Amino acid sequence: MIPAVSTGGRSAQRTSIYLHRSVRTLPLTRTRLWTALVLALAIFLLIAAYSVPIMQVHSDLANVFLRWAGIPNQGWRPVAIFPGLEPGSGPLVPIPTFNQVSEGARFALILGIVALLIIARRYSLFRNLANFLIVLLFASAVVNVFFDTFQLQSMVFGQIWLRQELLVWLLMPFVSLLLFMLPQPTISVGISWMLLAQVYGFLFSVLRFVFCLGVLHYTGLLFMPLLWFAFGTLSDLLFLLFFYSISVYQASGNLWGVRSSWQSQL
Amino acid sequence: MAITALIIFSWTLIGIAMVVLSAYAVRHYYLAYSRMCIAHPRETNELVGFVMPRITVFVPMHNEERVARDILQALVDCDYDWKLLEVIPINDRSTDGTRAIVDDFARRYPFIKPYHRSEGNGGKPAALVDATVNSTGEIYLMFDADYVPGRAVLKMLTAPFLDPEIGAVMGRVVPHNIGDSLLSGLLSLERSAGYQSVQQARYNLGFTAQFGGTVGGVRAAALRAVGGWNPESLTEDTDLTFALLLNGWRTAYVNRAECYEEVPQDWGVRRRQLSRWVTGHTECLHNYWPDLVRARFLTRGEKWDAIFLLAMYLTAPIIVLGWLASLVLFFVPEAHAVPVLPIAMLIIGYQLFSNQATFLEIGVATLLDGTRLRALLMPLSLLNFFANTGAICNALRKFYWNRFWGSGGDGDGWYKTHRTRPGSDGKGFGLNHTKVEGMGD
Amino acid sequence: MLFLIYSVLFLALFYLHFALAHRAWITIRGKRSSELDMSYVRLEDYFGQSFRRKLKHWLATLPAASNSTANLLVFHHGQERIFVAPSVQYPSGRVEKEILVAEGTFSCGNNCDFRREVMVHGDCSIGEGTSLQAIAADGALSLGEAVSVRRWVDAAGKLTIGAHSAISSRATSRTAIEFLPGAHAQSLFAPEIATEGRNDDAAELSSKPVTVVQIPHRPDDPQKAHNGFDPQKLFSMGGGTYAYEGDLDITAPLHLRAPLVVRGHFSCAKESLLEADVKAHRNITIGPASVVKGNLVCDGDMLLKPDVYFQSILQAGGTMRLSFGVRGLREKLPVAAHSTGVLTLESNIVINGKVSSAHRVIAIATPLAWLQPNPTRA
Repeated sequence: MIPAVSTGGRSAQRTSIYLHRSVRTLPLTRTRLWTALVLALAIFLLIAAYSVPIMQVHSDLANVFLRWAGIPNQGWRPVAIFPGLEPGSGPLVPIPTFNQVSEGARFALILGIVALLIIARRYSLFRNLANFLIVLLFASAVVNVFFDTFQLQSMVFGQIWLRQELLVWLLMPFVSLLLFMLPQPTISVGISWMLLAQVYGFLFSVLRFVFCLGVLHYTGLLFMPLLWFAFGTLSDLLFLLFFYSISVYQASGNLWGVRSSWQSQL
Repeated sequence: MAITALIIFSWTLIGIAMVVLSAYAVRHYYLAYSRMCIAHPRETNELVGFVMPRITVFVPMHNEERVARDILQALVDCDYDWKLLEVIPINDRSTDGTRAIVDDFARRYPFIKPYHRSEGNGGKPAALVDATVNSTGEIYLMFDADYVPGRAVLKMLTAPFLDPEIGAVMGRVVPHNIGDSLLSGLLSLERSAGYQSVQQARYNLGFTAQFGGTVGGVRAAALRAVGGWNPESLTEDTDLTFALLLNGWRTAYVNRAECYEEVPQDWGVRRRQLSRWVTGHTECLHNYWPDLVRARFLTRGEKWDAIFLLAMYLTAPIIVLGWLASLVLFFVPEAHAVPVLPIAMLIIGYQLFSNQATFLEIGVATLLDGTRLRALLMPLSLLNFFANTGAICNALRKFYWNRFWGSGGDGDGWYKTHRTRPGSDGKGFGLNHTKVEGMGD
Repeated sequence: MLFLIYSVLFLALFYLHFALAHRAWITIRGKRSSELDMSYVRLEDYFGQSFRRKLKHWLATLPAASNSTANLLVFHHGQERIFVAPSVQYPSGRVEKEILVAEGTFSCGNNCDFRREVMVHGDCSIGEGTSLQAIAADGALSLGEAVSVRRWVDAAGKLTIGAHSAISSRATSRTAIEFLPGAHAQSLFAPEIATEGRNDDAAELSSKPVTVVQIPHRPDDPQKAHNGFDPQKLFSMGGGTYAYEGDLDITAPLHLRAPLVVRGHFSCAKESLLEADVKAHRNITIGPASVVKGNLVCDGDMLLKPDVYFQSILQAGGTMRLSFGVRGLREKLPVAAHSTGVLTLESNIVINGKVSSAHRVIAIATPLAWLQPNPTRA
């Protein structure tokens, strides 16, 4: 039997060329690799060198948004970020203890748990996430009931926030390098994504920080674990994922416009 | 004192999570990038059609009257030489019209030789054990009844067997019902990462691919050499992969041998499927890890890869323990002291890099496949991630409960996956094509 | 109140991270994927056949343009034009930008440039240094020296690929391919592929070898290492297949009777008989005048020394070299040789089937010095 030749038999029934949908390979050029590494290192060093002014801008912007959002702030106090680094500043937003929290806030906690229970019951795909959030709210309620003196000052919260976000900004160039720069067929587009992610990460951090401070101010620590889980590094992950999905969408479109990268293969 | 102990305990848990999950993250990045960059993926496409041994195709069926005609017709239409082909539909105690359909095909095509099974243990492995006895092929290929092989798939799956070291071969499953539910859409991303990125990367790097029990095949001699199918295993495919590996046989992966499948569209079905995989994988881990460590035929890299593969579901409870430990530390003011920069950087770095690692695999697969619209679903994959984590933890809880305290827990048995495809009575491929712009063209 | 507004705006921004996913999901919902071509089968001469089919369809459906003459029909297909003529002869140095169809024979002088496909229904001869997009011929097709083809070449009759010609993709013929020194292509497929200097005299074998290494060894064979084979390193994988730990460089003729996996280099001496498949994790070298009935697969480079006769499939993860006098023939099925790296064909090679490389297949003239003294050829 002769294989795979069009002799008019059963094997000759294909009517159109099968342009296989897969690109075989996306070669990593040395130029792209070095550009990405140099850029990532440059951003890292810039942030490390200017970390104090950057944190100051973060605090200034947060101050503006705190005012716009009507959250009272009694000023900013220096907070230690890391040993050897000049201090950043943490806000002085009043946060009530459990026995000072309003009835409305306690009701909101119960409402939150009920809402999550309904979501868990109705939407199976959300079930495990909702269950985990319920655990966080429940843990928060338990701690508040049994240790009602437990207090988290807004300054400490600001300190923890800045610590975490500073590290995210420092490390993000390297994550961006892996997600945006190296898989992108066009170097300039990769660079744009890297820079955009860096700037957006900074602004998004300010907005989340202000929102968390607002919730802390009005509901005390009741929602704090949930907020920390949802709007902490998970949100950094989320926005990176969001950007990544668009960059893949766009890069995929470019690749499929340039089919020769795989058509030349056998 | 108690607080200090609690802090130390919590940090230990976080430390363990960091080490384990970072190791997995490194593996994910390595696999994704090696898949993306390798110039010539390992493949036998150029030799398709030049290797034509006698083959037997098994199609296990249990009440499959809706889809039986489609797969049998697809196999009839394949471009494999009928003289070298034997198709054995295994009618496993069906109570619907499956038997009549199978017999009708057998009357029309002499190479279709049905095996009607009316007694014995249930489940695919037990059915395969019985049906293998009378088969005549040098190579056994397998398809689940709801799968629809394309015309060239049999040749593609047979080609790698030209290599005498290849004991089994695995093709690629491609979800067809991507729009049935959000879950099925998200699972299509997961599948493409699993096959296009991970399976191909592992095969390129010289590690054994994982045989999945469908859209795949096994060399009859190799199967006999390792004692045949393991009817006790919930994942007889994974069991066979490692039984073969320990005897020096490799599993090849053929990315081009693509076959549509129906992925679960509701979470109940998905949970049961996941639960079976978790139980089977973890069982294999317990059964095989000592032999894998001692295996004479494997390099150190291959041993690590095999252990990583079998232990992958154990990462879910480690993640959850890490989260709970962080929650405890959050409520302990003593733990809020200023940390040392390198340690803090390690923690944040681990969170950023580890969590993105699996998504990089999805992105690479999407880039290579050109399924760009589905790439936009990635942020919603977080839901799938949380859902999977919970289901895996639950399955592991049941597994270890059963292992240590006998059958007190509600262990997992064999479930037949619910079929969503209506079938076409063998006309065409039984696949309802509603093209989505930008997804495959 | 202000914080409420801020919260709503913030949560809206937060939702935006899912908005595109949500929109994509709305587009996908209810749809089924159609990314696979279920009717795909692999055809080695697909490009040529596909082009013929498309052309036939165009010529049957498109109206001839008004500027057509008795000797030249012109058809417009989008931006392209198709010229149809009886027999065509192009002088040297001509540049042709249109698709060309010759109903009879076709020939061109040196250094022409055909920027679109050429279809020839008769015999065809292409002059030296000519550049082509792709060409299909229903008769014999002869490419002169240093012809370059940007895509594929397909001929129903004999295809001659001139010295130093370059074909970027597949070269196929339903009759035979003659592949001259210096030429290269990505793959060749024909019932017979031959390189220059063909000599069908059978190789002369030694009378009877003094020692023959048997694998698997028999109970009465020596149990100590001999002739490069150490029985202690041979293990059964079950299923009649054996694995050999480390390099296996056999210095006497080998008689291989069962599939063998060598976890290192594999080489065998002249006049070996390999009746089963061999896989080597590194390189494979087959001694002169050996007979290979099983498949040969290696992750490294493969070398078949002069006058090896194979009836199987060769696959190399690295480069492959088929030396002077190698023959690849078998009944019923064609043979095939594929390498990831460069595949080199020396002089006097005949293969019935396919030769391909992910890089390129090149033909070289075996230097005479390499053939002296020739131990196996009369």
